[in-house]
Amino acid sequence: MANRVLLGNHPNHGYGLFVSRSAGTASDGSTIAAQNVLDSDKSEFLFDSTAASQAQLLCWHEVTTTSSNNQNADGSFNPVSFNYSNFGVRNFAFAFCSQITGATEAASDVSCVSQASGSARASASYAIFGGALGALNSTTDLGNDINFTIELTDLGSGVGRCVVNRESPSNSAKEFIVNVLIFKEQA
Amino acid sequence: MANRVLLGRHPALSGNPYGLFVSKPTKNVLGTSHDDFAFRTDLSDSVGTVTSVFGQSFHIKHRGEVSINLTSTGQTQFRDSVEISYPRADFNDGSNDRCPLAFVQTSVITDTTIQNAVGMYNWKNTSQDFRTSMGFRWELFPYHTTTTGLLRVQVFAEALADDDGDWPGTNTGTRKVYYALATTCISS
Repeated sequence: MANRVLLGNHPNHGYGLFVSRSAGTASDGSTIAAQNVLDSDKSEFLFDSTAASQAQLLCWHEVTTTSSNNQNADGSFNPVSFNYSNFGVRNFAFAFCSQITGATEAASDVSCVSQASGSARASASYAIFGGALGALNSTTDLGNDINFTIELTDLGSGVGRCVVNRESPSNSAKEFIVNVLIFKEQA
Repeated sequence: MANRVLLGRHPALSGNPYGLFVSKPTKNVLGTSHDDFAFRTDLSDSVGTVTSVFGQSFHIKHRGEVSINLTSTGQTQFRDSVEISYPRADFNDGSNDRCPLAFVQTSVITDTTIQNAVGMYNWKNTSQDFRTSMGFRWELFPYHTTTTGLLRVQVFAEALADDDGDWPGTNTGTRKVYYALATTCISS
């Protein structure tokens, strides 16, 4: 069995904590051998203390926007926001969106948080671009005319605020979900 | 040399928490500033308006690559898609199935050392002659069937019509689609 964990002096990388990956199966069915933590190649290590940070995640939070969050006629926003612990350092974030693709759908149909085992809900989805794949969705109010931005602000005392701005026509009636992934510090 | 790794009770942090602490290179793990740490196991959300994931790192549950070849005629000369299924049970929290984090990237035609930027541009005029098809996009369906989730990736042709509106012809060489699914899940 391969050595998987090293706490101490690595022969190539110096003192630190190192964890290599386990054995697995590739998409073509072939076996992937476990990696020896003593290897000089650390590009696939699960943990490497010589890295500047470890991409620890603070939250992946889902936010629903509604028609009340449409832009005003002057272009200003009616945002949705939430607070979180940012530990007083600048964070890094990216966001995805879930859009309804039919006139009868609501946010609860496309939400991705969870689903009972053994029960399907094919309408749930998220994407970095939104909209329905396979056919570009240009139908008014169902996809391409809705966009969003996110802003992170340090409120002090270890509290951060994430503001989600919905960019949509003032007559847009449909709900629209944004989920925001926030890492503990700036890359 | 700075102390870099502490497994046990931290003597200086408030509350002296037990855990695993790793400092950033050149920083002392016995420090107390958040900026001292590359990894720490005592993260939680004290504000309480979100569901904390307590500093979870990414664990890649599934990864792989698939090939895609666009055709020289028909709709799939402009774009085509691949579907990658995975078992929902791999992201079950003990009660419910959850939605994993997906990463997707694609190579350009025949050259796996060059990858596309994240984004797509697909445009055509009403007579469908002038057109541009570039990039890629993807969508994840975490509860697609009762047992499987689905990652659908759409790849575009990397081409655009010239000034006369003539499609230059699609290069049918192989593009690669790379994907990874991580155990991190969306919270309410």
